Amino acid sequence: MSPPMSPPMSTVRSPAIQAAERIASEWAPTIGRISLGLVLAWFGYHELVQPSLWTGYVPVLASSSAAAAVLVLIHGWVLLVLAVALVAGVTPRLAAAAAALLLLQIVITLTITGGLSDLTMRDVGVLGLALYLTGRNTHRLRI
Amino acid sequence: MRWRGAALLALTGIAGLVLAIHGWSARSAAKVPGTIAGATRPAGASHAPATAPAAHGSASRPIGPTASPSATPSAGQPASRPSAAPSVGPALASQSYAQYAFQVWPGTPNAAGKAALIGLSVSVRRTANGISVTASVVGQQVTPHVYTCGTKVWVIEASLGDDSGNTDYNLGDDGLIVTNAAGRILQ
Repeated sequence: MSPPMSPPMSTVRSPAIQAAERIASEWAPTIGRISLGLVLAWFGYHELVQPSLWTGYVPVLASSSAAAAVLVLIHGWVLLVLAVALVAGVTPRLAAAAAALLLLQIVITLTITGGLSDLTMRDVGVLGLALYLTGRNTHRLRI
Repeated sequence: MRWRGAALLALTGIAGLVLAIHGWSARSAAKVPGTIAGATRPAGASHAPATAPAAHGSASRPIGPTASPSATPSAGQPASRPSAAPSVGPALASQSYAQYAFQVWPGTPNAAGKAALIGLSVSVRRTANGISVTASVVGQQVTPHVYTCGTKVWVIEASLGDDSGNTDYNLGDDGLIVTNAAGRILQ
């Protein structure tokens, strides 16, 4: 008579691990959404209050031009609205998709102007988070 | 509650507009002094380019990528002369951007100073009239400026996070300041 089959070691999880997995599954998208929102809020706020410090990032235009300052203000305004939408959970997938587009533009611009660098790769990571959130429909802490 | 989200975004949009108006009105005041990205140079610094206008103190200091080619000296022919009457401005320590100032001369810059210098080329040498300072984006040649009574050279870098490797992605927040022995900005 053969001994009873035991489950493989890889499928044996303690209740604590199971609880941690459930909490991570439920809350990680929300934490990621709020984190992305805080990033956008920080940049959006500073672009709005001190546009002259950011005009150097505007491609083509001279950093001292008024047009560059206007573009930075518009960019900052969009970032701020997207940030609040993400933090509050208002149409988070749409907001994440818009953030992904903005970040894609930033990554492309930085790559063209300075090549692949630590700054560019950091933004690639944030872009990945935005893309991930675009595909997630379950979020906690939404108004 | 869809309307609550819409109302929140509308309020955010209005707040953003208010901040944008504030930022627009204060954009000139917030500009980094002696910016290296093609704004204005310190008023008293002398400049002896091939073209005449930059001889005046309030002339622009085209060093960065937006520089006007007409003000750039020809390669290998830098020239400088001291200003006739350099004026002394306020103490650097009293300025709002003092927290972003990193001393790069004399002596060896510390780690933060080296980080602030990323993407920039700053060289200083003593002259009979004071110190001759050449500051530019890496790879560009510019005319040195002579600061009479200058004793310290500072690089202003509002955000070190825009520097990577040997590239400064945003020169809009970089500037150069020269102070005298009392710590006052030479203009």
